[in-house]
Amino acid sequence: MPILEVRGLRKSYNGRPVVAGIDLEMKDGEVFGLLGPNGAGKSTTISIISGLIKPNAGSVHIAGVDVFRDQMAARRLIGVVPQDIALYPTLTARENLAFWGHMYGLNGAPLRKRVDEVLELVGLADRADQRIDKYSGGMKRRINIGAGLLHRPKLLLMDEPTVGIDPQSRNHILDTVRELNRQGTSVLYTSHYMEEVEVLCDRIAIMDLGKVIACGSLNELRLLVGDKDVISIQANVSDARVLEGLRALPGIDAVSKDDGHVRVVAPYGRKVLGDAVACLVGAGIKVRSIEIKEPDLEGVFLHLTGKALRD
Amino acid sequence: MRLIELARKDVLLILRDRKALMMIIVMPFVLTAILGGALGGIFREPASAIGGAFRLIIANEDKGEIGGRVAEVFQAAELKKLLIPKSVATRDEALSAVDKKEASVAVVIPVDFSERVLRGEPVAVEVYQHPDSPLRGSIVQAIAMAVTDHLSAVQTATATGLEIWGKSGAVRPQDLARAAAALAGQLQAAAEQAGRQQIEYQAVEPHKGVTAFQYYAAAMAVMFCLFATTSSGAKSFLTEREDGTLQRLLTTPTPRWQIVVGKLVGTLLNALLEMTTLIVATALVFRVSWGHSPLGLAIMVLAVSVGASGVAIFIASISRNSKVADLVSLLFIQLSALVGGSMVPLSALPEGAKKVGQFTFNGIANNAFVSIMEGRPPSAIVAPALVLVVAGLALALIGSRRLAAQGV
Repeated sequence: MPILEVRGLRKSYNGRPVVAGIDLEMKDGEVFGLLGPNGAGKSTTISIISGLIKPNAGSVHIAGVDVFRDQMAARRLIGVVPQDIALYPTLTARENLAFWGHMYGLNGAPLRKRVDEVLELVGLADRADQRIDKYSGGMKRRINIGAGLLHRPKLLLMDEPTVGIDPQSRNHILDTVRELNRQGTSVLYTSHYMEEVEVLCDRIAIMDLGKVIACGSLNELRLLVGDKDVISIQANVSDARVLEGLRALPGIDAVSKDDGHVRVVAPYGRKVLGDAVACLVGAGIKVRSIEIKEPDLEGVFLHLTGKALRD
Repeated sequence: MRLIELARKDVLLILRDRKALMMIIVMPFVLTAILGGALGGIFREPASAIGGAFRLIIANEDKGEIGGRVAEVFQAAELKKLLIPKSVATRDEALSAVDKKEASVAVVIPVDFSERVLRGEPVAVEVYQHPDSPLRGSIVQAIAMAVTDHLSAVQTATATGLEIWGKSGAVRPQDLARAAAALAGQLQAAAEQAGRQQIEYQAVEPHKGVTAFQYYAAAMAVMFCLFATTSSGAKSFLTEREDGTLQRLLTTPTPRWQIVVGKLVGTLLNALLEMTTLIVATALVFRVSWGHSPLGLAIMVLAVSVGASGVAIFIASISRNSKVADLVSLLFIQLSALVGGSMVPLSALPEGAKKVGQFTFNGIANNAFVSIMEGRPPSAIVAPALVLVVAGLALALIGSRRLAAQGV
């Protein structure tokens, strides 16, 4: 039985579809990535799966339990780590975890023991009695994750859990997810950081405009791009006409820009490299470095949508 | 139970919030000190000037001539500019009229007044004043004192004369002048000594009024109880929604009704904590007497807390966000405090404001606490306590339903 089964999910706001017919199936014990740019519908999908939002159509089953027909049973099976830090800043980490443990029905000695275990897991046992508002952003995020783990959920829904934190805390969170998965927890992980999804997830669904446009393992997704190369050119391009010029070049499939880089997908990277650089230099743009890479998730997304993940 | 944990958490959050504590504990304490000290005069002197003639109720239950004479004194033409007398049949009617503020003062002449005067027995004319009208009361007391002094002198003279004539037997006509002089001397001495010993006016003050510190301790406790509930109830509902903790709560296997009731209980606990803290603190620091009815006080604390909690939940349900809730709460509290007599006593407000003010949250609660402090019977707080509880529960019900409809 799949740990998560989503069928024909649709949700619109004021007639605008935010989730436009999603089908997903997650195996028990899997770390499943939901990748897509901001506004792709990832958070709405997570909110529907966690029972917070009712869809206009479709069904969600968690370990066979219908999320909307048997809400309480479904909620006992899931742990939710929201994108925003949903904790009480003036309470200590221990008090916060104890409170959320109570909300999941834990009490007394088992709750105290579990709070200690979770504090150990997120690496904050030595700061347990400090108020959350004295914590760094990364530490708050770790407790934010901990609050969703107290009842040992079968499925953990993590919505962009590493937004806005330092690399050290990010690594700690990724290690925590791996450890949870090792202990048997299935994880649905949404992010717009492709690197995280690449290193964590067994399978990945790529979302855009409320739809799943591709789903599979990293290798399966790479195959969608085929033998094509991804050329990453470090250059600051602010003029959209320059990108249009690049797209118009023969032999180039897709072009996008992101974080001071221009990405070009082409069947034969080396063949079009000279023309692409000439186009940029001709427009007065300084090219700092050039790299031809194997297609990654960014390249897959670019190939499928013609735009960058972070556009 | 989850709802108890929800309530406990809300109390803990308030106790950890220094800004909120300053607002709901320190501020009322400071304001009680300032207002109690600065406006003490209002409570020692009349709440307003005599302001022309005032209504006096006269209950002459005596059938005799002397009682009628005493009543006539208060109806004399010379006092027209000062008194507007009105006669009623019974003592109860007179006292009730004063309690209802239909008159400032009442004079009661008891049933067997004339008979007892003639028998030389002690007897009293009662002067019953409203605590808000101390000056008017003292004017009537002065008149009553003059009348009773006069009657005492007559009574004493009669008794003394009878005694002298009785002892001396037949008085010869040539001894009349000497005897009269002796009598006059004795009457004068007797009148001076007797004073009000035989016939007294009796100032009846079952409700002795409250001091400024007492009044403002109650007024501030009520006002800041509203602050406490709106900051822990109204605001916290919305800040939890804004901070995402409410959404997180809704993903846990905690039923929505428990979340709403837990919030309501937390709000109520904060209100009770606020009221109890202020009552104990003002009693210890300002030596404020909260009356001699712990049960009455407890009932009113609970009633005010329930009422304030209902107001808070209702405000939460009609506010789009925490800033709007802050604004709505502030407007409601300030308006109710101002019109309800938390800043300036109702008795010192214009008639129109006075009438409206007694029906505000603060007006109802303040008056009830003052009743307890004045030592009025517990029945005096039944109506206000019921009004606050029923209104609070009704508002909490409407608010909870609205919040549930909004997805909590």
